[in-house]
Amino acid sequence: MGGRRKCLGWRRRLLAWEKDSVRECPALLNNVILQDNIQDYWRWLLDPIHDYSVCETYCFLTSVDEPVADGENNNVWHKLVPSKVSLFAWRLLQDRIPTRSNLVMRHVLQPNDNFVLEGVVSSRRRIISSLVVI
Amino acid sequence: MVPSVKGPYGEEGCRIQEGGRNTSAWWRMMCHVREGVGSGVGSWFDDNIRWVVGNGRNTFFWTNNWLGGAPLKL
Repeated sequence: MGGRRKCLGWRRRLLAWEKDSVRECPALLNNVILQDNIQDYWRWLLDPIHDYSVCETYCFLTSVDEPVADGENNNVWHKLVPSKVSLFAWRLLQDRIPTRSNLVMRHVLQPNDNFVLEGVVSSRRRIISSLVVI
Repeated sequence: MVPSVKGPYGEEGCRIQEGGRNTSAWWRMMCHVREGVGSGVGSWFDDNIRWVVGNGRNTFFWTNNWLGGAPLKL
């Protein structure tokens, strides 16, 4: 795969786990059989025959997304509920609360950031589980 | 993400490049789709796309990004 075959050696002695990886690597590559008449290509797993389409992808994304029941939406915007509570509940149902996982997903935080941010919860699930306790 | 679509900042290891800080917000968002930003279903794009090796002429063992988003070469 690209480049000529060279005689390679290791620059230092390998650690035990590295030796395991070296053993595992050829086993993984065994299945790869180069076929001269077929070009390398991207395969779209949702539709390997017709390939990627916006329509199919839209259907996939809208069907996978957690459906929010209509009843829940109606309760959120009840006139007796204070608007700030409604707004919070609505953002929670849409998963638009700036939780740690959301901030990571939007590249505001790095996944490995370990510092504690005051008032930032780790995920929507955490909020929902704490609401049950209340 | 198909090899013929290289985007304004080219490709590296068969992945389109995001470009620097001055990239348009729209293009950055396009690139973030790869990581699943905003969709709520994880990295749906990366999960559903595979590089299939045929004759291997466009496949580079050391410099392509395989699993984990980083090439094998140091």
